[in-house]
Amino acid sequence: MVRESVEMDKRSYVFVLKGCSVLEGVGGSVHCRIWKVGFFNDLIVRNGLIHFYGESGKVVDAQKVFDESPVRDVVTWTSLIDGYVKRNMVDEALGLFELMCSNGVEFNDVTMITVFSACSLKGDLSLGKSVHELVEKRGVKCSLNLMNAVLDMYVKCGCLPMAKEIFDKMEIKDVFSWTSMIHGYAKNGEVDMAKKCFSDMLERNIVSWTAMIACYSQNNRPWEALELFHEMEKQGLVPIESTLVSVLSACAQSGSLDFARRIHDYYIKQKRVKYSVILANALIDMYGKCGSMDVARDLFHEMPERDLVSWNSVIVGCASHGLAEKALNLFEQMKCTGFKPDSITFVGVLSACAHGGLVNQGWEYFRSMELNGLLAEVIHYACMVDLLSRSGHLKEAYNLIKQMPMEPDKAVWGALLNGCRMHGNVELAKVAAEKLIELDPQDSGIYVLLASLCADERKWADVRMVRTLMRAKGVKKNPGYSLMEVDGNFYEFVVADDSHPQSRAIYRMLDEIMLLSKLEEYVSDAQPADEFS
Amino acid sequence: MASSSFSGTANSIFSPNTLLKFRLPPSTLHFQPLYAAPHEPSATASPPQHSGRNTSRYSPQSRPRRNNKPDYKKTTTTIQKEAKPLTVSLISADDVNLMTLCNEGKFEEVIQYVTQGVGADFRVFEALLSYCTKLASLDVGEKVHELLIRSPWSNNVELNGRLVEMYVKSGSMRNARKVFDKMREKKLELWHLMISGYAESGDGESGLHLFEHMRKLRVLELNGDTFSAVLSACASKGAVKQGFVYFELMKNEYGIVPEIEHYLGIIDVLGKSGHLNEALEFVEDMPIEPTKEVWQSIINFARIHGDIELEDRAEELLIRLDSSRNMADKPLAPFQKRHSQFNMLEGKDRVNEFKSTIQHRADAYEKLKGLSGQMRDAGYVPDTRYVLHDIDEAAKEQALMYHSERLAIAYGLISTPARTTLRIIKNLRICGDCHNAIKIMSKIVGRELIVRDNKRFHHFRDGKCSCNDYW
Repeated sequence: MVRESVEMDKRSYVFVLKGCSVLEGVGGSVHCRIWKVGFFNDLIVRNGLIHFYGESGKVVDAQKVFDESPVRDVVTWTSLIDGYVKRNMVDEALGLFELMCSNGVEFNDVTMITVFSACSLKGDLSLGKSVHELVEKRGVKCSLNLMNAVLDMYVKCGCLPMAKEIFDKMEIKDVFSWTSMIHGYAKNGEVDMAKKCFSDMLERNIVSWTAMIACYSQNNRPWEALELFHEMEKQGLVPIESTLVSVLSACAQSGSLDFARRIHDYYIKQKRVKYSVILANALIDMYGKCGSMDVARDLFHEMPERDLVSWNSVIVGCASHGLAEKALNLFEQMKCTGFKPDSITFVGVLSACAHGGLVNQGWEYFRSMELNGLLAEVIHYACMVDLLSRSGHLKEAYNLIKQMPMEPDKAVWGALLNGCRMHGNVELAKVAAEKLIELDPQDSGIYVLLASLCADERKWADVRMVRTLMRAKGVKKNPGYSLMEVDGNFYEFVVADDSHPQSRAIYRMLDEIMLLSKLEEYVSDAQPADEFS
Repeated sequence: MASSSFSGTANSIFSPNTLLKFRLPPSTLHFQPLYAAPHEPSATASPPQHSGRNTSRYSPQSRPRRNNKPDYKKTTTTIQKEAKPLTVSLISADDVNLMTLCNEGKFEEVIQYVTQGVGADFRVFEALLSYCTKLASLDVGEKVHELLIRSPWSNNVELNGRLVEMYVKSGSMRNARKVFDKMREKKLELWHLMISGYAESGDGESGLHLFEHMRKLRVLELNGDTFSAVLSACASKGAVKQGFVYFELMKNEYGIVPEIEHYLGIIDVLGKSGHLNEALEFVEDMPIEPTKEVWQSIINFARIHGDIELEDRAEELLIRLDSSRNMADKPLAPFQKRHSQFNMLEGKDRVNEFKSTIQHRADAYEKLKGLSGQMRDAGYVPDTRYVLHDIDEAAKEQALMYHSERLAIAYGLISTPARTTLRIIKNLRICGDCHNAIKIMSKIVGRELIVRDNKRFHHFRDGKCSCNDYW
């Protein structure tokens, strides 16, 4: 148009600015041209500029245009508020809204959608309720989009009852409404309710499928997450990044290595989904938890960009695989590259020391937390108690517990009890067991450990007494089972299981192996376990 | 924090208050049998001369089982519950229908009534023995046996056959033999059951002795099933030469044409003894075409003995017979989970639990002690500290043998190609004995075995673990 010397009016420039939102480096020149042709003082054009700068994340420029505007309407204010929200500058957004109200500018439903988004980001339920009351009091038009925003706010602020109340009152619901409720139920652990919502949806999109898959994954139901993902694929939907993150998490929980590899090969390696740091982190975590720590480390080293989660994932993974030295080396490398360790980092580091029996190094790292501006949490104390207990420093471990600034939890006392069991310290074990029973009378592992201790001491009457105690308290022992993945199929076994069609062959194999053990030196110097079957 | 501890005595882990609070309830009342004479028929029982009429005849397992696995069965909650004293006193026989109670599954009540003197007929005893066999509970079985002895049906051939089967299934070969020896009439199937029972209990030698005794009697016509049982006993004993002798005997003296079952029996004899080359030669010399079961058996033994080359070769031959095993030609299917679904962290609510409640008597314990002693002599020392029952050491060893992670590994070994790394997920912490056993397994089979328990990962390779036995 410019080259053709076609005369452009102000609306033309508004539309051009909308297009510039998705193009980098073009908006500035359009702004200059607006100035040259004299449309800068037009309200519509100014609003377009503010919106453009807001969408581009340039809130400073947006604010500047706003400040230079002699006249401002509701669109002007709303555009700038939205710009701040998109940059996650919630306080600035809310402050601007307050200023808007004090200037007597009447807000509309679009404004309130933006304000509710700010409340959601802030997670401030009280503020959200106040804004909701304001909307009702002012009689703002309750459009579907506005109601969805209110719903989303209550979900993200953790007020599921209010969200449900709003949802039930909505005469018209769309895919976003249902998806918000799925998120809410998922966050609240109400998987079955989320499932019902998902089932009742007449229309679903990738976001709603992702929400339901994430619901299963986040609530420790990985198999259902994977099944739903498979169903989604059959529907012809293509996953987005967050879908794959949830699916990989489910694979990690269930140990579904074969399936995870397929995800990796088909969607990521073949670039059907953009490979990001978030996805890379999910892969590292998955491969580590599925027993392929070598692959996880390779992925980590191949990452062009890493964040703190990347480092934490690989450090914790190495620790859980007993690669203590590698975990600690990674930690040192992380610090050299400028990353500041957080609480999770030190959980990995201390776990590595615990698994490696590195007492002195453990103490050193534990004390260094304060130097890194971190306060040790109960989980870090649990790691230290575990480290000390395993290595036989039981008295030291107990003293540490007594010095803890917070109340010791199950993990802390459990670590001590296990150490006592390992090293045969009956008296201290009694202390730990008593504390554990107070904390969780229904945890069968405590009683099993206690019974193990009695058995070690040949106190069979006490072993029976533990069982009597379990019965009296209604405690049921957690049954043990093992899973094996073969060619993508999972097989579950329990002790003395003969339900598998090949049970005879399986037992024959076992018998042969154990007979062959005669040929090997198999003298047990076993360490105890806290719970087994 | 102030420390706290139990204030109990030095010899007790509980305080006196705890002991008082959880004192066990009074024991069950004892009822005396009311039989005036051991063979006096009851009012509801049919005359002994009519035994067997209109009732199903005893039909023991026709084919012997090949493995030495204890026959653990799914237990019922009834037997696991603490017995409650019955509120009944003397009950008239006319007021109780024992068979109805049996049909309702109230076997414990039936036992109580019969103990009190209510007469049981053939059908009732048959039902009780069937229940004991399924339960594989030696204690209950012995109680029923005692009741049978005191009843008019003590000499019934059918019921005594059931009794033998019950003892075999309960793992008490000594008791089974006692009943067997007293029986005046013994069907061929019962001999098979005894021979196979000895084989499965690891006492193949006794099974072979029984077979020789059977031959000397010359009162029964032996068949192919007889020699299937005999070969399983040879395999159990590791008697290679005897196995071939009996194989030839079957053909030459008894005129029985070997079937695939018998060829598999010889392969078992050779394979269990580690004679893999001989097993392969035997297969190659077979007059009939080897079936996929044959090659699968070779594969299994090759895996056990770490003969990777033989395993690969047999695998290739198996694929020719069963192309469905060639996974390379199949697209990777989405995951499938066998058995019921469960939440790994909430498995206690969903996992099907199959646990044994076998209560071995002293004789069985002695036998198991002997077996354990043999293994100890060879260097295998299971750590029975992980069995939290006040039971015999041999029974503890048995209890340790079939932990779920070992079963999973066994399945992985027979289901995956050579050199494949196996990954097992255990929801609880692996016990020390399994940890040591799996180290040995990794060395024997030459594979990396990765176990993820609820604490960490264990990488077993070449007889060592990544945790360095420190976990």
